[in-house]
Formats: sequence, C-alpha cells, structure tokens
Amino acid sequence: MSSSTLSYVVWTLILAYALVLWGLSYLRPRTVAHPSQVVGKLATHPVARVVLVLGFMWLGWHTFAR
Amino acid sequence: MPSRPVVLLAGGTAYSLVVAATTPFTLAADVLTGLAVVAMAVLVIASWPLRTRTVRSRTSPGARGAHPYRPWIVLFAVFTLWELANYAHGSRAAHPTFSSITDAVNRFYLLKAALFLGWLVFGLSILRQGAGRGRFAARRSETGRHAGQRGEP
Repeated sequence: MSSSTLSYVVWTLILAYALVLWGLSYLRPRTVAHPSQVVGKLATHPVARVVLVLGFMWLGWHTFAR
Repeated sequence: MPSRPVVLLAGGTAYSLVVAATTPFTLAADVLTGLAVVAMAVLVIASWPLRTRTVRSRTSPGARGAHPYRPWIVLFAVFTLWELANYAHGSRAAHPTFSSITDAVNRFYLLKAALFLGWLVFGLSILRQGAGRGRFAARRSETGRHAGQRGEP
C-alpha cells in the first residue's frame, strides 16, 4: 500500500468516525453529545468561544481565499 | 411570505454559488470571503452576551460516569495528530493534508459551493449557540424556566 493510499484510508476512517458519532448523538444522546451541543459548549466558554470564532474565520479564509 | 430559514438558505446558496466562481489568491476571492468573515465578527459582537454561563450537558445527574463530549474530543485529537503527521512529511502528493484535500474538492464548482455553504451554516450554528438561541440552548432555557416556576433554584 502506497503512502498516499494509506493517508486517504485514514482520512476516510476519520470522516466515517465523525458520521458514526453524528448518528449516535441521535440514538444515544446520553453517551454521545450532538454536534450542536459541542458547538454550544465551546461557544459559551469564555476562552473557547474566542478560539472557536477565530478558528472559523481562519478556516474560511484558508480554504476559499488563500 | 417566505420564512426566515428559507430566506437564509436561499441567500446563503446564492452567495455560495457566486463565491465558488472565484479563484483563490485573487481580489474577488479575498473580498467575497472577507465579507463573510467580517459579517461573522460583527454579528458575534452584536448578538453574543459579554459574559458567559457554563452550559450543562443533557446527561442526567445519575449518570455521573458519562462524558458525552469524550468521543468528539477523541475525534478532534485524532484529526489533529493525523493532520500534523501528514504536514510534517512535506510531500502533499504522498501525504495529503486536510487543506490539500479541500483544494482538490474546490476544483469542482458545485462541490466548492456546497463546501462554502457548509462553512456558512457552521458559522450560523456558532452564532446561534453562542447567543443562547440554539436547539439545545432553547431546551436548556425551557428547563430552567420550568424549574423556576416550581420554585427550584
């Protein structure tokens, strides 16, 4: 298996894990928080909310502008 | 008259289709992406409270061992470690980073528009949750109101 194939496989597994967590957040809300709860937790923390907003801005700028 | 979510979705989709037509590292891409970034900053300042309150999870008090955020922390840690591992190796062709994958996706007009719309929706979710207007925030305030009516703290 080449390096790039291995890398893409791991990226795919990470995406699959995220999707599974999303599904479990509906089926087992006591063990897995819903994504909006995670965002809510971060957005209401005095320090994390600043990091969250700056991270959001950087993500958009880096992905679509530069 | 169309509802607010429909107007937001239509406006966001139209804006995303315009942004998707731009090329990175050009003035048009800078301006159109920058407008969304500035709008986010303005809306955060205008709608978020100055001070915050700690948000409690939906986990019942009886289930003290449960930590519903742990799986997401694991996901974030694995994502970050794999991103750094690929970045450190240097060769993007052999070790693609998240950025190089999104660059590849952005070569397709409709996929880029969908990605930009997803970014806008994520921003809206951050705004709503931070302002205490999210789905679970509404449930929390509702619970608090009932508790207050019953004379509970």
